[in-house]
Amino acid sequence: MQSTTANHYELVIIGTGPAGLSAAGRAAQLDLENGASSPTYILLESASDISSNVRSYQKGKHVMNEPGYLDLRSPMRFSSGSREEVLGNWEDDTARYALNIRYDSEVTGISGSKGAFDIQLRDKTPLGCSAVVLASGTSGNVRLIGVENDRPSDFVRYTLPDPYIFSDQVAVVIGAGDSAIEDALALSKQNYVHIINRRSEFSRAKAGNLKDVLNAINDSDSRLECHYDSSVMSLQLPAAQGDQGCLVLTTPQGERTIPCDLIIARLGSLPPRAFLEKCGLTMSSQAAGALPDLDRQYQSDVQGIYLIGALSGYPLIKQAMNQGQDVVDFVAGNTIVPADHTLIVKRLGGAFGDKGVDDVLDYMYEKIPLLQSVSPIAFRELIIESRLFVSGEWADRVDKTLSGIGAPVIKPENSFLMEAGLFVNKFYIVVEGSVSIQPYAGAAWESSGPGAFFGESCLFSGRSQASSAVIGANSVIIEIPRRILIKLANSNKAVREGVDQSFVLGMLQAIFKPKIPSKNLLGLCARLKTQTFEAGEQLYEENTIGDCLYLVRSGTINLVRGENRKIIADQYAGELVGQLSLMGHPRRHNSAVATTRAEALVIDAVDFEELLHNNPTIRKKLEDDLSVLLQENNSLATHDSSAKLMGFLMKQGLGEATNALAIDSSLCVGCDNCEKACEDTHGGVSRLQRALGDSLGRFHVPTACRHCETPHCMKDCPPDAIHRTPSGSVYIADTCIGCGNCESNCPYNVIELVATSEPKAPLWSRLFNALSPSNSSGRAETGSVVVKHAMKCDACMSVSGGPACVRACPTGAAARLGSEQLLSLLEK
Amino acid sequence: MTQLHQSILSWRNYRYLAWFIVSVVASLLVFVSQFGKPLPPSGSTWQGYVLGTFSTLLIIWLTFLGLRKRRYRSQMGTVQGWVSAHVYLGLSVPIVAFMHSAGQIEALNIHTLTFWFMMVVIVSGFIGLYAYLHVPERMNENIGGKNIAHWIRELSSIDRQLAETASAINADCCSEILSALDGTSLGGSKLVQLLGVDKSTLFSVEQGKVISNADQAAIIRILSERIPLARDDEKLSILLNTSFSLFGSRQQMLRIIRKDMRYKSLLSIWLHLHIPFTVSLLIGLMIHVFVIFFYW
Repeated sequence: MQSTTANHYELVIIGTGPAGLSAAGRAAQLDLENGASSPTYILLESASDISSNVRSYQKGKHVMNEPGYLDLRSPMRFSSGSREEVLGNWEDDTARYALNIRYDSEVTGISGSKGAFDIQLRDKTPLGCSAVVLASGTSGNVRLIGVENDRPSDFVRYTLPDPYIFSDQVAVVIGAGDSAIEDALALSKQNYVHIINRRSEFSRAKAGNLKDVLNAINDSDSRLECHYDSSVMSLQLPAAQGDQGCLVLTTPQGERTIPCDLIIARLGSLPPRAFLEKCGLTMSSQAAGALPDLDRQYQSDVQGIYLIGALSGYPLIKQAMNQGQDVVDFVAGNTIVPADHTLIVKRLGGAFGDKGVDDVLDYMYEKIPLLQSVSPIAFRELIIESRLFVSGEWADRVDKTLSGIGAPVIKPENSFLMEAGLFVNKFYIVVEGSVSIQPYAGAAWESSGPGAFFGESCLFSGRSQASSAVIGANSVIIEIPRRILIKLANSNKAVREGVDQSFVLGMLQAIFKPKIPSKNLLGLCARLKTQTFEAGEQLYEENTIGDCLYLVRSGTINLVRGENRKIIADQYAGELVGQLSLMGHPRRHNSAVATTRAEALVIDAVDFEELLHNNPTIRKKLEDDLSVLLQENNSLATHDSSAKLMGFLMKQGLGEATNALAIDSSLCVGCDNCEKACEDTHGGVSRLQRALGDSLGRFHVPTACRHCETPHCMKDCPPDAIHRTPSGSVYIADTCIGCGNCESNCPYNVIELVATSEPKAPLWSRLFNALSPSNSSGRAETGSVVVKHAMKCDACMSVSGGPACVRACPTGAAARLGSEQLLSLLEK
Repeated sequence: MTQLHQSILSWRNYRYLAWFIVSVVASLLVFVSQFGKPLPPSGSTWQGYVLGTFSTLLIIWLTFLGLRKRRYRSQMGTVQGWVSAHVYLGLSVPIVAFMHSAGQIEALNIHTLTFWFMMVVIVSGFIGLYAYLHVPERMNENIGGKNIAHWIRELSSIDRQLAETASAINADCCSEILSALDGTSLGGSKLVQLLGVDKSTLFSVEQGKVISNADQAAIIRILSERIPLARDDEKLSILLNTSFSLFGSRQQMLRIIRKDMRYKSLLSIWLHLHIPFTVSLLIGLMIHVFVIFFYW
């Protein structure tokens, strides 16, 4: 690098978070290698200490080093550990490299162009540079309360590193997200806390936090009070040190003033759009959270300005640190392969011959219209997290010495990618060649080429796959895990809508088989609205006039009739609800209630009529379906006990079960052999509790996993450790970190956090151990930290022969059943 | 209840009933073939040896249920299938063994002793089978589809209410109520549980001594005698009536719990004969075989 004058540097790095520190560390290394007499870079920090965002984490918080597959490539050290350990390492390394940091240097703007940028600092010190790395993250741009006096102070705070320094105070927490809830709960242990929620519910919170905060709010002993539908009108600072200030709210009941000692606002943070635009960068969209578009070297549309870390869409520490190292090499013009290069090479496995990785990625990207709005960086990540399935000539080129996780999977032509009746947790996109899909058993196979995608129906509905798919000749297909697709769909509107449209189309076609050509359904598809119903919420009321019907997308809907709400049918994903009043008499003959959280597509009567009119063949099919349903309804309605049993089973969650344990009390002798078998086959901890759980008549549903269609436990698993086997068993992998999210998300209390113990030793060895005086205390005291893991029934996926509990029952009282078998349980 | 749940007797369409019939008929044919020979039927003919070997093998196999039951990873059928086979093949053992002995069981020696040990095992097994087939349903009826913990919670809630009510009544009556609560006895030895013996007591102020309060009858009688006497004292009358009805519910609950204990002990008590006598039978059998081959 060239030499620098006192206020001109080759490189200015802005922000001392993980990305900025890593970049500065790399720049310091390069200076050392090049024998620079003075630093060619400067690291700017607006605060007076490094990493203010990590510093603002709650004391002792465990920082994770996700994603696990990626190696760290940075001069700075980082591994998972407590907030203090992580910060300690960075402080040491900052000193070790004697990083050229300028504190209290807030950047207010950047002007100029590549080679000659002017950095404007708040203290007006002149500073010039050739290139800029923006690594300032989004946390510096917290949303303020938006009233007078809302600047950060001792009274108004936007972070809460240690909630336990406060006691016996009145604190107000503004916000309804996870950090607001966590702060409010922690503060409420020693203080009286008001939490201000702009809406009527905590819809953005993780389920675990949601449950905790609702429990605390509803518990009359807790010192947490919630103000719903309330917004801040104004706030008044304390008149003197030690006095209370106050917050004025508009609530549905009118204006309310809360005197308080402390205000914590947790309203989230945003990319600093105004600042970025002022620097000349173009944002990717108008959305509040939008980021600028970047090329593969993290360079923005202003040449010479590079963005890394959260500003490039990578909020994870390890990725940000790797980007920090790489970007400095890019700026210096060094040819390097990115840290994830080897991962991608392994994913491609040589199937694309000698083409360079970047060229292959570009080529694949071009072939997939669904992903056109995904940034190249996100597409790269998607490929790392996915697998390729290859056949024919592509398979011939694959380097056969590669094997194991991540390498391409070689498939003979016409072998199954997806089989009807099994659960699929993957999403597939065709890149080359073709795939043949059979929408339902007995239907004709249809072939689709590059860009086609499939597998979404099982992911969205939670029901087993209705269609089958086989790989075509000379084909390349990407298999994307559920988590990555969901993440992509959540952050990208085009992907979400594209996949959703295909899902809806598939459901409509399944209902209207023999098939209506998809082009005839596209119009209807676009008009359909998805409505979400919470458990217990009603879709429509008996005796009202029906003007629409519902196609269940996910969850279970009960049809109930009469004053005592007798259940006469349960309808699942892919089934229709309310069609009777559109095909027969318009008056609703029953009420429809969601038994689980459910989603349904609303089909308008006019649309429906038009559809029937244009496609006369489907009328017959729908009428036949309806008549079967009516017969079922009738058999349920005429047996009071059946309806009662159905109601009980629904309450027990069997409506969403794929494989639940049910015990016939009239056969059960209470020997607990089921529990002993479970214990023996699962490392000494039983995952079922026979005596617990509810009963109705002879039917007993013990506390054991139901293997739900859309597992509640899977929702918020940080290490993505909860998976589903093709047969539907939901299990928790060893990567569990014991956070307890699944335990609080499970509505049936079947997940337990258990300290992992050694397997039970055989009887003879226990006898000998007990006899030997040196080991009389039994289990060895290792003194190590107790690590907890979430445990639940895994349907004995690792035990051949099926669930041990059922096979160990001496009297045949224990059986396993799924929601499809419920009707068969009822007396005819 | 459903196709899901199947009884041990009808398991796989009575598969082991068929096995039972086949083994009994085959043994009978072997047995009958002894008649008309110079030697009378006995354990010492070749037929006798065949039948004896068959019953020994059956007995040894039957004891393997105890092992299979604890081999939770075993791929050898289901425990229910094993139990079904155990029941039917166990039933064939006394028949085959009797044919083996050719009725020579009058004398008292190690051989006949082994036979009678076997009969105890068989009969206790029958009791167990009866219990397994009939008790669970009655047990479930008794606790009304709730689990027993529910009734114990209900009982302690009633006890709390009674203690509270009693504290407002005069000292005599209060002490009787409290002593009835204190003196209530549940459980005890297996036999006490099986017979449903109620050793509850209370201290009767009138008689000045501890008397039996089995089935809560004494306290209910005492309260029923006091209620008419309290007609002029409205407050006392209400309290006595409340206690009276609470003891009525308490009586019901204790009956349910006691009955449940009784059923539970019925489900396990037969094993106290079945297992020790199986061990005795195996020892007797070994001696029997040893003696036959070396001393007979």
